[in-house]
Amino acid sequence: MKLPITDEYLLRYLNSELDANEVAALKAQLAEMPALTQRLDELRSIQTYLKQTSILEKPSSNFTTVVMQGLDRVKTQSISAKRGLILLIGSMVASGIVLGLLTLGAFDTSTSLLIESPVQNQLLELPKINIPFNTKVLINGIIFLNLGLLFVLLDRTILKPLFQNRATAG
Amino acid sequence: MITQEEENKLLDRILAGDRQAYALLVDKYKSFAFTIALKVLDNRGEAEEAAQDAFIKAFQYLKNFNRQARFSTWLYRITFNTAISYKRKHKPVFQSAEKTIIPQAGLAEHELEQHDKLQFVHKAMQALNEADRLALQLFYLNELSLDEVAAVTAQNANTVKVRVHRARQRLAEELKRILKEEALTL
Repeated sequence: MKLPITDEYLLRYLNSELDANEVAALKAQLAEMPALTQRLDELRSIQTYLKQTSILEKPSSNFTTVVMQGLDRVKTQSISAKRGLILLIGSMVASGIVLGLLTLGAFDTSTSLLIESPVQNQLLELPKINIPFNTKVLINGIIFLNLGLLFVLLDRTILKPLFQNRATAG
Repeated sequence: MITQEEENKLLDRILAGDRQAYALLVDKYKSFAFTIALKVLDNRGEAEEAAQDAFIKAFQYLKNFNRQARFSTWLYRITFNTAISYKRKHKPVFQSAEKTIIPQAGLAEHELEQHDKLQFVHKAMQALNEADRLALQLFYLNELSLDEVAAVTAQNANTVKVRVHRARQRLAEELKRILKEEALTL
């Protein structure tokens, strides 16, 4: 009785994973079925290719020297984790307070900036410049900048070290 | 050849501050680390840079290495992750199918036939998805078992087994298709 020969079975044959009886049975079938022999040849080409392309590649001769020099590379982390965490908490508290005040309407006043010429001139009357501005807009801008700073601090002090440790966890 | 025991002693020396001992480990594992990076990046310059970077990272985080796995497996995992990061950062470099093929000049007829077959397999290989191709290539690098490929690529051993099996099957199917096309064009 002929066995249904799969690719996996042929690969096991090529990997010498079949026992003597299985090999004999397969060889008998190969002799009768040219299509199966052709398939075996194709699979053998795959094994050969994979083995041929799986040789160890050699890096350049100064590889080790470059690595050893690289060990002296100073860590470029400008903020220590502890300081970064303190800064992060401080910024969060400050943002919270300002947001609270903003919600309570503490900055709902409109102020104007008056610019006068420092030189008093009797003959020529210089115009006074009056620029109105909303304190709320200014505070919103500061909060926006603070949120940007918070994001950078979060990345530098928590996220980056976390992912770095995960990637090098032993 | 360094034994496991000697390697542990070397690691102790490095952790105690003997930097030069690290050069022995770099020499031992550089080819394999470079080959892994090359399989991922397909560019020698970038692969060398990534592998060197991986060795530097491994040195910096050596105190985190708990020695439950082999040092090589841990290092190859760092190398693999570093190479993947490089790949994400840099634009992929187009590599033509001819680039890795051995030149034909001076080959005998049977060698030419074999050469053609290899070229078809190479073409079929390009049709595989990247994860399957990498799993297959890493598995065929003599030193790595399925469990080690799984540890290096941070995947489950069964997933890697399925990937390798599936990749070989697809490769066989793709090769069949290419050979059929070739036969039609003759």
